[in-house]
Amino acid sequence: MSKKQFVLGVFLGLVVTSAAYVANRLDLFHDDAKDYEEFEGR
Amino acid sequence: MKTKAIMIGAGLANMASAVYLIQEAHWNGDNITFYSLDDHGSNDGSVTTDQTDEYWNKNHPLSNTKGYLARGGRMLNYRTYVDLMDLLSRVQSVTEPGMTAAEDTYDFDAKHRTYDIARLLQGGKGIIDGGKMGLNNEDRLLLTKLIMMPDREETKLDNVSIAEYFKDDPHMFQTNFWYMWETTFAFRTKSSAQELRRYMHQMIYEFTQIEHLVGVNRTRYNQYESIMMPLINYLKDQGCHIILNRRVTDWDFKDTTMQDEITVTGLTMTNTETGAEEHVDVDDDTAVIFTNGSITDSATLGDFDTPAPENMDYGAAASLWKKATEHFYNLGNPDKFFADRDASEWVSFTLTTKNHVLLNEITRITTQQPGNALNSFLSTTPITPLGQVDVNMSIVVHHQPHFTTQKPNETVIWGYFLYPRRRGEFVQKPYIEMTGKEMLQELIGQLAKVDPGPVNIREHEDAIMDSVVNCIPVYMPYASALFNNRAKADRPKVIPAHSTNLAFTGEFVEQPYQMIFTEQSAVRSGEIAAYHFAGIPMSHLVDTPRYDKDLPTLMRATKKMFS
Repeated sequence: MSKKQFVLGVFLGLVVTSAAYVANRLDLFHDDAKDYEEFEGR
Repeated sequence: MKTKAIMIGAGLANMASAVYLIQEAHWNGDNITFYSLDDHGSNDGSVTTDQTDEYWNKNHPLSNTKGYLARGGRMLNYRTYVDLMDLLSRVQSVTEPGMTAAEDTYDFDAKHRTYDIARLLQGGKGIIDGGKMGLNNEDRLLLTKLIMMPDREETKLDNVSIAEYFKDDPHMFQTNFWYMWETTFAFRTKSSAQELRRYMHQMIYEFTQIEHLVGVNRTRYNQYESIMMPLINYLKDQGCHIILNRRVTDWDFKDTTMQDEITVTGLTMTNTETGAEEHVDVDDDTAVIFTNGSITDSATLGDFDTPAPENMDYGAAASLWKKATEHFYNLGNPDKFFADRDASEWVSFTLTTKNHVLLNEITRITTQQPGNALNSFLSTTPITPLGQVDVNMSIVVHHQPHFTTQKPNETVIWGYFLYPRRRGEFVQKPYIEMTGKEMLQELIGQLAKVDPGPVNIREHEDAIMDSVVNCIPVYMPYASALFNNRAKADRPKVIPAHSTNLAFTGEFVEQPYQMIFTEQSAVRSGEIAAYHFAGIPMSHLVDTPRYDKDLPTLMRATKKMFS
């Protein structure tokens, strides 16, 4: 692996990790509908 | 599932619930009965004489009952108040034939867009550029932490006040951002950081344009005529029973072995006109939908020559809420909201004049045409416990007329003092002790300080005083109670666990995501209650937009923090 490829790999890794972190913090993939399940008619 | 409902409280939340029961669940309106002190809650608006005999006012007669009174008024935001707008699209406007209440406000707002150009004013500086938020890196970091805190971590802010959250960063309270934020939304430093987080999430789009209030939408008239009356008329047409002058005072709950089944079997109430005690049985087919708190409970009025007295009543709705919590552990803690007036009280005033002299002066000084602006006047000397400058008072100059019966020569202006125990700058007493005349003198003084001239408003003071029909101070001990510092468990869920027939609605309930004091959350709580008892899936609720998960919005908000 060349130095260039190594640096690119590290950079991409940081980007993906950051994106995953932000997505997690923002709950981007949370289904809001689940929050209302407890209110469903019983 | 139920087929009938008793509504305790006839404010927006329960009226919304009734509309959804009728329209979505196809209930018969005749099967819905309201018991309440009045038919407006915090959305009042009328000639003063229509309110002087109401429950909270009749023991404090006024010497001057002229003019108009609206204790407060909500600014709307179509972008996020989706449940409110859905509700208003279902009822007819009472002032604009052929329009729904939603179309009415859309039509008015399109012709009178909000663009505030004098959001903040200060003596010696005049109009301040609110676009410069004044945040430093510490401020930005703490705000970012709030924005990046997901819903599931909200409990980290249990019992954390705004003052505590920013305790190592008092600079926050010296920023234009804070001055605008606190006066736009009526947050106090003792208010809940958990609620501040919810606001930062739900209003993140408006954060990017906060100084001009571009996202603010308004109703054509006051909230009673533009929002409550359409609902009242619709529900009465549908056969609902709205029984006023009733203070519900106690519950009968079903006795169960483990005492954790919440089933209401009866209600005791007082007829406030006759003093008679009444009792209503609740059968197995009936849901009880209860608005468990009101920010205008225990409010009192003054007049031009009389300050508003203090009424120490805990509050009708809150008292009943407290009674319920004496039976069950999972119904929240009303004392967090109604036993700390220092955290929640403020005073407003409604000023009616017989000509446009004052209005013209305000227009000249603020360079803002009447309607759709909020102006806040900053002190020039430290006035807070931290020794900082803060907002003295704020005013809203409505588009005129603000009431349908208002004559063309009359004007109505509203204002408020967020910290009523602070002393006036021109009248040397606390705002809470001021008459309407003294509050107007404070306003003239604040305007005089920022007046660009050449003829200062002081030269017109006599003419302004002569023009006054009335100025009504209103003391509201619980005006910001819904923002009081809280833990997540301090508010009952809309449908508490183990409840078979009781739901909680309004601004003192726990529901996902929603911020309060907006009418939006009140409507949604009513909607949830209606769907629950009608067996309608929650997937039918109005979709909630999540701008706090929209990357372009978040990037604009980030950019705004550096302005």
